[in-house]
Amino acid sequence: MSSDLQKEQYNKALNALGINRDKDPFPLDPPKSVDYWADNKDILQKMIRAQLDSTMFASSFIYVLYGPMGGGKTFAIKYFANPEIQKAILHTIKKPELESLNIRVAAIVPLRSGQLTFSLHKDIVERCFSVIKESQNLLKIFMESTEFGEGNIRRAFRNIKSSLSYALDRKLKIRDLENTEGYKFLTQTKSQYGKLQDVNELVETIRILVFILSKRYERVVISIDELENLARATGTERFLCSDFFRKLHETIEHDMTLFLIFTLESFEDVTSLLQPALLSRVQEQIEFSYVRDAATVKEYIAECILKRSSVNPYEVITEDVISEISDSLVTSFQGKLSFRKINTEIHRIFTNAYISAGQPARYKIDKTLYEKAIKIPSADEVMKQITKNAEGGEK
Amino acid sequence: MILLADETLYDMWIDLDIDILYLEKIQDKLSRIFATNRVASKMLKKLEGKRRIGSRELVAWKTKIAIDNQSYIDFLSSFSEDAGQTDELIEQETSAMLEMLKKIDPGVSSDDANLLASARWIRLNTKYEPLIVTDDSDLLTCAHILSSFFGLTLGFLSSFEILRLVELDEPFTKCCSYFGLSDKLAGFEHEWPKSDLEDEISNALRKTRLACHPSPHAMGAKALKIIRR
Repeated sequence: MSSDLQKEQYNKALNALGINRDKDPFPLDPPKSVDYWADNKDILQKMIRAQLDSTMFASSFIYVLYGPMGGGKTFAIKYFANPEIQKAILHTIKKPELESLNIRVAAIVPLRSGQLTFSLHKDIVERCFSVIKESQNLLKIFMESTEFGEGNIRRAFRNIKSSLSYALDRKLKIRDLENTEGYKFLTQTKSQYGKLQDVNELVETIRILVFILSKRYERVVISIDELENLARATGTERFLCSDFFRKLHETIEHDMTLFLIFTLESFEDVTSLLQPALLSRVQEQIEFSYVRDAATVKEYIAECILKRSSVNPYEVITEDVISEISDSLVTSFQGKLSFRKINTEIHRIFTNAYISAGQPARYKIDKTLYEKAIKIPSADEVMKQITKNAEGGEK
Repeated sequence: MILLADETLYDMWIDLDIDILYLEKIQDKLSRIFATNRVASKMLKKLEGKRRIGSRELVAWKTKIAIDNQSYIDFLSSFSEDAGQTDELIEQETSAMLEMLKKIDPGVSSDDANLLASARWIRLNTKYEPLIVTDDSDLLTCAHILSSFFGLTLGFLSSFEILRLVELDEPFTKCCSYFGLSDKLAGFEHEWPKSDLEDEISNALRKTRLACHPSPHAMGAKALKIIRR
């Protein structure tokens, strides 16, 4: 069965369970906007503390998030980037008026030395400008700003500033931003201002942009995902990247939080990719580990259905079945169970139960139906069976 | 064994647009590469003047050279109490070598002598055998002979030899075509001027004579003047 067909069957199964397909409680990839938390509560606590520290103290912070694939790192970043969640956190410390800007970029697999760091810099600069461009308030701050550093960086920012003007609708606009020489220079495209000369210039560009953004936002949160790609980079690239982050933290003393995200199973793996000088600046490392106990899986399944889909989980699936699924997953994955893996398995169970029930308009997963559903072999099991038969035939 | 890089090594790799990845492969397969303080500062300055190099390559090479220089400093520190003092010692050695070498060739490069002095210090004070990696024809043809004046047997390797040694095919091909297309080599086949040819032969002879020199200690500097031409 193709993945499109599988997806269609799963959507039908969701529909028959009374769950809106747009509110899939077990998404295989983090949804665009995350408004619920069903993962590990310890992690939630640590992440909230990180957010509160960022709000209470003006200093810049670096956090390292690490763990296996599908452990919920990107999910967590998206959860905390959600303005509603931010508002709720800030409300608890009686600072609901504060607002933070979340920028999320991903590290690429570098084909040449320097590519990973430069692409991160380019993405961050482009994201900052796209935020400035969309806000009249920020454009006004940019127009009034004179803090543009020195040398070619200063020239580049002044060049962009000279493209600022009022349009017919009396709104401030940057004319043809992408084609200004200043923007080309700051985003590493061929420009009359030459080229960025060193890491200090990369950092200086971002410092000036964060300075402008921090007049409107209390905090600029930059999350850098997929940093495990550093493992496939040269030693020079790793050094350069560490130097870039370290200098960002050193130069931008206030109003910035850096989340460095690694899909790596241990912190030792992370330390092998970063320079000690950067590691010494990390405020806290947060592990997104595998799920090891059935109680957590049970709670996760129930909360996903309740919080994401706003449906009573026990109207969809009986409590004893949730317990049975949880026990079975913890046993079969032997300490290597991730939240994404749970989602994948639930997809299979929901779809198989729907097929076993004869694809009805409405159904609920109880023990009888669950037992029928798990008897439908998975693709892996079919393959194993076929291979076994073939081997038997050869003999 | 450790490899001491001459600036020509970086020059060639940058000009041929060979990624740093390959230089790191050499480090993995053969030995660590060090850049002395002089080589590093000269290269960093030179890099800024390279117009054809892109921003990314520029920053990456600056980082690589800084790393190689830091490795050199860390290495010296691990064998001496004060790396600064060691550097000073090497500079003094450089001056002494220059004084001697200028009697043979007034145009001798101070940076080349410094590289020899660094290699000498490493050879005498550590358990490692230094190899100088260079694409400078002067160093490749006569530095071995010159170093013998100072009682040393230093090793010299070109990028060509190193690439062949560690079997890095892609940069090796680039390196070969680079030399194949050089003006000097092309001219040799068709229109080498007589004066150039005389100079080349004269240089070669001079270097060969140096190779056959008697002990310089016995006759002093005057003997060196005699054997020069």
